[in-house]
Amino acid sequence: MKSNFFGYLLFFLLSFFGFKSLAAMTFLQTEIDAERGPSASECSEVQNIPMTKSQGSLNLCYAFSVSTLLEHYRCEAQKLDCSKPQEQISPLDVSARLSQQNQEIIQSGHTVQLLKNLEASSDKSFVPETCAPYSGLVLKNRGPQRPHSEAAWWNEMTNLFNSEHRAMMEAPRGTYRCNKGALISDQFTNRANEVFRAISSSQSPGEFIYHAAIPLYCKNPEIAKTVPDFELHKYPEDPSYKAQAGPKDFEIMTSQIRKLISANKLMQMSACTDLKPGTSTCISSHAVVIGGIKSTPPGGASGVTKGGCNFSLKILNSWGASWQNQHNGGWVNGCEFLTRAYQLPDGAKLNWIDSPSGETQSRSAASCVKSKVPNQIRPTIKTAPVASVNRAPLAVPKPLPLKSPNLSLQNSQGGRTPSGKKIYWKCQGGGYTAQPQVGKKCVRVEI
Amino acid sequence: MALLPSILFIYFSLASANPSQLSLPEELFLPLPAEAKNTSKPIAIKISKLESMSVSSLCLEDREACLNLIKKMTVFEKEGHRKPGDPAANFCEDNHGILFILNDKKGQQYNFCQISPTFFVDAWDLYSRKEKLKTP
Repeated sequence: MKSNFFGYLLFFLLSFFGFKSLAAMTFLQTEIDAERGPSASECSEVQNIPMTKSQGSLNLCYAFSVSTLLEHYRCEAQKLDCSKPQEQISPLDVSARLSQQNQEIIQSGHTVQLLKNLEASSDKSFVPETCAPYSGLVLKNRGPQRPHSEAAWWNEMTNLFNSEHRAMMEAPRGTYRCNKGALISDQFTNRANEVFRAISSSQSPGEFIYHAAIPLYCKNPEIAKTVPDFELHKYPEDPSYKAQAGPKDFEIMTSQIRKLISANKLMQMSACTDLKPGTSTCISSHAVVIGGIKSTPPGGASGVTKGGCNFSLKILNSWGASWQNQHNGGWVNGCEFLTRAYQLPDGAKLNWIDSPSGETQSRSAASCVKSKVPNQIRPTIKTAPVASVNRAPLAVPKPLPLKSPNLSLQNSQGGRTPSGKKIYWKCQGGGYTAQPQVGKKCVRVEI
Repeated sequence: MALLPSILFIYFSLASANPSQLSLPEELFLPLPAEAKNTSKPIAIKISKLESMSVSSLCLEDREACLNLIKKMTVFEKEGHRKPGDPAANFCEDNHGILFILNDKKGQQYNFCQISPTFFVDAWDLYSRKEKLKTP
């Protein structure tokens, strides 16, 4: 929209001052931009998106997606710049709110339960990620005998708690000797005493891991990130409603997504990543956040319209910035993603948080700025080799046939050459166009 | 008339603006644990491109050795049930790599797989290469 507006303005000014050939070029650029992909009005993204995170090898996607929702809600309510690292909330601290009895970090948690607990809780202050960085959880340079992955560290901490907690409880008063003192002082240099005390005070390995991962000084209320009260919303509201993957339900779901995006709301959704071989039973899922939607003509120039799907979703994944980069900034085939969401036992559900009625006004979403079109788009969520064989077929219309053989080349490169030059077509009896005209002799021009 | 160059500049800047396509940073930083943040400086790793993969710049100094290690990792995949979590992170760790969550200057997190003491490869580039090799 913006570039089209400037294009027309420039065309008018250049024509007015007599630069006719330049004006023609500008007009051409504007027309081609409008033709090439969805127009700005058909594409919208949530503004003030939080930073891209990485969950590494732990199964904490639910906590990462919820922390993204919380960060965005807080940034919008308090007019903060969410792209700053200091606004990040510790996903480990968020995860610890899943259990209502004590603070413990749990893998494979339930997103909705966590959001419900947070909604009901009067304590919405969280540890800042900069104080207890998840990426610094495991010291990977401590030699070959020490765990290098988050998952291995998790197992080591679980074993440490199980053996030492029991020994501590069973030993007669004053006789307990810690066998893992060297390990604790090696891993937690300046916090060995704090971690040692956590072995006796914790009731479960998850609670001990919480105290081991988050230093006491990070729980200082002065540095805490406080999220204002919110209400949890779900769609569909009726929990018994289970939609089926197909164009009709896609339309209902996408209209809801559009509505939320236009109100600048991020929303959480889970999708199935693995099916039990030979069945349609989902055995593992992944939680992500949706931050944008755009219409894409089936088989059109966007490159993400595999299978004739006519919309794309912008996913904020917790698999790091590399995943986002490789997936065109997170834009994935909307039908494929929703089909995976419908494969879950509960069906596709949207969850989002909003201020209790009438308290604050959120800004509107922004139109998408055109993004470069990749040559090849990979599937949305990678599945295991076995699952990919048994994946349910997409219930989407067949792709439209291509109009001319040349179009496929143009589509595959998004109207640009590999060196970045724009591709135009000069056809017999007409001006420059973005696509070659059927039945006319056309010459390809690269500018 | 004097306004024309400015208008042209604004127009073409907006037409080519591309925020959703994140560009690869030239430098990434090894994370520090909370207690070391005030005493140590983060270690920087220079990033370059090798056969369309993002790698640590030292990979370019010993191209062959680096590519051989990458090849070894992408050819011999450990079989078994898929673990939960990031598939690229799991692939790295299942194949004797060490996954590092590196940060850029802005704080965006990137998964890099350490395949030798000096070679780092973008975990998703590595995983995608393996997936491509599997596809006939």
